[in-house]
Amino acid sequence: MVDNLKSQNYPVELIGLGKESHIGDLDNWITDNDASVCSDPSPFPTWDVWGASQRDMYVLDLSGNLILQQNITSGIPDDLGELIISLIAPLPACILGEVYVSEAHTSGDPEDYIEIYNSGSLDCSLEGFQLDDDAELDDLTFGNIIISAGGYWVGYEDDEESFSSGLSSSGDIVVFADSSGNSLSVTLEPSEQLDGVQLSQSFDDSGIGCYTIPTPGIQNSDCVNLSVDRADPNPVEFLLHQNYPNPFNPETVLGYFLPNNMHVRLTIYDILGSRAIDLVNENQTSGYKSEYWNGTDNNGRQLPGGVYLYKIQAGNNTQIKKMILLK
Amino acid sequence: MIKTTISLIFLTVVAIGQYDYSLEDINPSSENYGLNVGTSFFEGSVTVHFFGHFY
Repeated sequence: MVDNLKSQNYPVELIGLGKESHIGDLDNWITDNDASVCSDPSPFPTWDVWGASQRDMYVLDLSGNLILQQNITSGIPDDLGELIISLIAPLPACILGEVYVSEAHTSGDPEDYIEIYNSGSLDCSLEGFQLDDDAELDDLTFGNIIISAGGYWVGYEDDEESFSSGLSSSGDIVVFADSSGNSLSVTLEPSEQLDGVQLSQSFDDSGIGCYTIPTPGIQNSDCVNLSVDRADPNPVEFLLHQNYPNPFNPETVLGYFLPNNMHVRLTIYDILGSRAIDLVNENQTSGYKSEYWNGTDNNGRQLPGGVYLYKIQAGNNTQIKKMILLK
Repeated sequence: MIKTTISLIFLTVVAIGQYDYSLEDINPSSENYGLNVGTSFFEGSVTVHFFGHFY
């Protein structure tokens, strides 16, 4: 792994440390590779200061900061190479305007959400970006959140690493700023419903918005023309959204909305069709709904990575979609 | 300004010092064989430190 990265001229070094009295256990390193090998003399100050146990691996960044400490008795992390590369060549900062507020929902606590879309062609980091419902920008400052090219970040009110200022149903603003203080804002009109569905508001990269059916984490739906659609005798249809994020680890959100009050059963199956877990089995009121799934079965056991199906039966509607759990 | 700079240098030294050592590289196949190496020796590189068996 490290040898491979070094051969590609990545600045990365591997050092093996043995206790002086057992340095022979590292003989195979001396035989098999050209990494530095060191012997820690009794009373083993390096081991003590680092708090190391046998087969511990420490990864330090370019400045010597500890990034990862992990016992690798059961194997080297699959993503070690990606981690090292990210430390050497961090993803570029997102560009305000290429990333922008693309949707917001003001249904009230705790379902208010804000969606940010990366319209650029590169994955980028939102680190240092800020989000608030006023110009003070003292609500949320993003950590190193990666938003993939063409991907979305969705934050629900009061969730961890999300915003906490509720969005007013009578109208509000969302201010989104980069780490240099440049900002864009969108205006939320008073909340509206259509056939019992609490609408969200979608925005383009110019901040121009309209009412839409909620689509957190996926492409925005068409604008709703309230004056026309309210006169439409055809009600808004039942919809099951693609889960977000997908693929996912450790958890994902399954969203759907109900045009009427109805009984809902939401079940997850593995790829062989065996039922994994019943997430919902109850009567629900109309409107947008979301359920989290953390990759466990009905007994709370963690399921292996792979493709899973989620099936919803809502009244007379049945839909199935696929999702991928990563391990 | 000077105080801030001194504080930053101090904090950097402390931060690196916590995860540093200076031990002789005893692998004849290593390009650093015979030199004292450690985190600060490889400054400017990502370093992966593996603590092997000891019993």
